[in-house]
Amino acid sequence: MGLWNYCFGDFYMKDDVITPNCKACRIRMEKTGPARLFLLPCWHGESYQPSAEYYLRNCSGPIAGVEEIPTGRRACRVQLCRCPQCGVRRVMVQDFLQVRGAEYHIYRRDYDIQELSALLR
Amino acid sequence: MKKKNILYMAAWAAAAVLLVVLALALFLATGSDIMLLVCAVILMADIFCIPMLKTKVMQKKAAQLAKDFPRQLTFEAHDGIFYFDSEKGRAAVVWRNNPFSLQTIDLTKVSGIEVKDGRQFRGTMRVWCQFLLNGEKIRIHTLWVSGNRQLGMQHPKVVSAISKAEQLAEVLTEARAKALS
Repeated sequence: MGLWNYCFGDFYMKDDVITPNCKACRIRMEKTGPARLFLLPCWHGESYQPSAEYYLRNCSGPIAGVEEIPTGRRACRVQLCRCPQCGVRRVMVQDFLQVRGAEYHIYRRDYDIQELSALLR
Repeated sequence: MKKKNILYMAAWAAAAVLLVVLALALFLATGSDIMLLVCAVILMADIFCIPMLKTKVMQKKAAQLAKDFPRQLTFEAHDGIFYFDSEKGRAAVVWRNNPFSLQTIDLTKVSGIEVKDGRQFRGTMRVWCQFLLNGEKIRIHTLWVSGNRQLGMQHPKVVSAISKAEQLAEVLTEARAKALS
């Protein structure tokens, strides 16, 4: 699994279940605490440049659950991850579209905790 | 509801036939290789440009006609542009084959709002939202795959099309409820 993750980690991570790799230790990070949900100002087929600034500017207040997502509207799940070995923390953002109760993942990015710490407060 | 304007459709068909005749005449008159290339270009223009021009005409006319129609959602489908005003419970459409009038949809006569994903064995070619207006079935396609191709049900275009169709159905249901109240 180690070599597979090393080679195809990013591709495999589209499943959301798998957290990003720690760049220093080369091992999977662990999810820490509950994820927060935010609505994005973007609908089904639209695209945007995923960046920390974009999420900071557009994720104003968290929502309680997936039931609050209007039909066709995109949302993102912000999750804090921590490396079990060196303790470094990163923020994982998973953009998804909810269709017929299933989540379809669109972008998954991870950022330094300083960049998106405002979304975790 | 008048979806087709026969004169308008005939004019486009005549233009297409005229281009083909012109291409053939050019080739037969000269018989040169360069003319064969010119003919191929004209035929390609016939196949690709006429549908594009028809879409442009529809968009331009719809923008003029729906200027004063307040709406919350505008949706451009394969065969028309739909406008929904869920606050006042109104809806209107400009059809691709009849772009000279903005036709209002009487939402009190709308029933059977459904989303269909057109699922076949391997995937789908079309996704649409359909409803009955005075017993006539009206489909708003959100995905139309040309050729004899199919896209898998997990394909981003299919997922996005299902989401769009569901949004349309929701807006239509809201507008209908408003119109009935």
